[in-house]
This record gives sequence, structure tokens and C-alpha cells, in this order.
Amino acid sequence: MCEISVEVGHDVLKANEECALRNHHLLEYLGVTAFNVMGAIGSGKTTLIELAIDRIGEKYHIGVIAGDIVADIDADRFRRYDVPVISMNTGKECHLDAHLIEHALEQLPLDDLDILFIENVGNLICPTDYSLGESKRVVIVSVSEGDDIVRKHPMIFKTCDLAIVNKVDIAGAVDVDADKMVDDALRINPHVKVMKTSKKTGEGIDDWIKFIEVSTDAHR
Amino acid sequence: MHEYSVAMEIYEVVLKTAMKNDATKVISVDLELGELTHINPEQLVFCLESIAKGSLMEDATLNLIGIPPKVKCKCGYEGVLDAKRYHTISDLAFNLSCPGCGNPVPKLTSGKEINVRNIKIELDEDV
Ligand SMILES: Nc1nc2c(ncn2[C@@H]2O[C@H](COP(=O)(O)OP(=O)(O)OP(=O)(O)O)[C@@H](O)[C@H]2O)c(=O)[nH]1
Ligand SMILES: [Mg+2]
Ligand SMILES: [Zn+2]
Repeated sequence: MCEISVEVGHDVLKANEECALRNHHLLEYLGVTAFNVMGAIGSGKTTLIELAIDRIGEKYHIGVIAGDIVADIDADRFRRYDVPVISMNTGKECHLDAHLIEHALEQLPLDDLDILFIENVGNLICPTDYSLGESKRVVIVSVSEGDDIVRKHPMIFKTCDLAIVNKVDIAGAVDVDADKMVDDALRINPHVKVMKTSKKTGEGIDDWIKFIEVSTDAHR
Repeated sequence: MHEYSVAMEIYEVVLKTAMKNDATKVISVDLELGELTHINPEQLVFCLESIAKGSLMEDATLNLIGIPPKVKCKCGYEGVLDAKRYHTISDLAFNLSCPGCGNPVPKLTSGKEINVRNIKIELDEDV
């Protein structure tokens, strides 16, 4: 009997990063701007993507990957817009990873797309560690999560390009100061873009659309 | 959160390496865990132990090696952060800045590892 030591050097997150990089190169090559839309459960991820398709779906060719945990509920919402939709049932998983996206990309008409929205699983922790190959990382929280939600999940704000505080129309009803959430995001990451939005009043929606357009045009 | 799927990937890598080397059992696994990953060490160990039952890895000792966050900054600073300034991930993300110049977004160069560094295995003598 003898014992030996064998070097392995397999890093789980690095393996994901490598796959994400492959996705990223493919998307860049084909001129597709991908948005990784993360955020709390029910914060308005699907809603804001729907608004974008509605507003600029004529101007750009848009595709969607919907990361529903079970069933096709969000995917069905997107299908109403006559855009290609891939539904990713993650089962019990708490985040999308680059490998799942790699498979979804195989099923999308990437040659025709300008924009790809990837709706991640509603969760402010796990998606932070897993890049997908996106060009922009967007985090959506809403006032109904309480005004401490940003400071409770700093890592995701540290690594995002855009932070959205949604549902500001009901801030008064839930006794929340939306500006505090904005300040927290900026303290965590002074370079992040922050927007307050509302589907009800339309506040900030122009800024959201503008962000998508500018990011996409920079790519074409 | 995703400790189970991480444990599964670690298990598969360890077992593959062990089998490739004709191991009769895995004695220990050295696993580097960055302090900035959202992985709970106890949960990870628990998942690994239950997955490994009945396999070559069943009795393996898991050595967890914590990796402190390090940054590299435009100002030239390269090294660890001031550990006194944070206790949790949450403190860190708030206070994370370059110890050299105060830049709030230095590049993180370590702290996000979930790395199977090496394994110790037992072989039959006559191999
Ligand atoms: N009052 C108000 N309600 C909103 C706003 N945006 C979204 N909602 C509502 O919030 C609920 C959840 O919105 P979704 O877009 O489904 O949220 P989601 O983040 O996709 O949810 P999950 O995918 O389940 O995590 C829906 O009932 C929306 O109509 C807003 O700006 N104001
Ligand atoms: Mg949704
Ligand atoms: Zn510096």
C-alpha cells in the first residue's frame, strides 16, 4: 500500500468563467448584446423586459432566455410578443450558469438577434458568482423588498452595470424611502448606473430603454 | 444555496482523478474556498459527505483552506485587504477599497476560489 498526492487544480467558478467567456465571444462575434437581468423574486424582471420588447421590439431583433424554476410561466408571457424564447427550467437550482446558457444559445437564431435578455432566477445571492457571458449585468429590486435590501446584498451591486429600484409608485404604501436604496447602491459601487422606475407611472422607463439602446448601439 | 451542485462537481472531479490514477481510496481532499464566495462551508461538507457515501471518497478527509480576498489596483497596490475592516461579506462589499489609494473598485484577484487543489490517494503497492 502506498499513498500519493495528485494535483487537481479544478476551480468550479473558474470552469464557469471559461464557459461564460466562450458564450461572450460568440455573442460579440455575432453582434448580440446580452443583458443578464438579475434581481429579487417578484421585483419586476419580467415586467421591465416586456416593456422593453414593447417599446423597441420593432427597432431591434430581440430574443429572451427565461430562467423559470418550474413551468413556463414567464416564458409564456414573453411568447405573447412574437419573439424567440427559450425557457430554462432550472429545477431546484438557484441561478443560471454559463453551461445552461451555452445550450440555450444553440437553440436561438443568434444570427438575427441584436438583443438577448436573460431573465435570471429571482435571487440576489447565487447569480452573483456565475457569469453567463453577458455584456451587461442588470440588478432589479423593488421598494416592496424593504429599503435595507440593497445593503443586505452588496456583492451583487458591486458587480453590476445597472441597478434598478422598481415599483417606486408604491414606496409610500410600504413606507420605504427609494432614495435610500439608490444611495446604498452608489455607496457600494460608485460607478454603477442607478434608476428608479415604475410600470404604473412610467417613471424611469425612458432611462431603462435608453440604457438598452446605448449599450446595444455601442455593439453594432 | 447551491452547495449541492458545487459538491457534485467537486465529487465528480475527485473521483475522475482518483480513478485515472488507479486509486483504491481517496484519503484526503484539499479544497480552497475563497472568503468571497457565497458558499457555506458546513453545508458544503455535509453535501459532500452524503454524496460520497459508498464511493472511493467515502472516508476522505476534507481540508478546507480559506483564501482571503486580494486586490490589484491601478495605483500599483497588490495584496490583501485590511482584515480588521470587515467581518462579513456584507461589510467587505461596503468597505472594499484599495488599501493603497482608497479606490472603491480595485480588481479582485482572489477570494472567489472553489478550487480542488489536490487529493491524496491510496494505491495498491504492486502498481
Ligand atoms: N405597482 C407596481 N407593480 C409592479 C411594477 N412592476 C412590476 N409590478 C408587479 O409586480 C409583480 C411581479 O412582477 P414580475 O415582472 O412578474 O416580477 P419578476 O421579477 O419577473 O418575478 P419572478 O420572475 O417571479 O421572480 C407583477 O404583479 C407586476 O405587475 C411597478 O413598477 N409598480
Ligand atoms: Mg419573472
Ligand atoms: Zn489603489
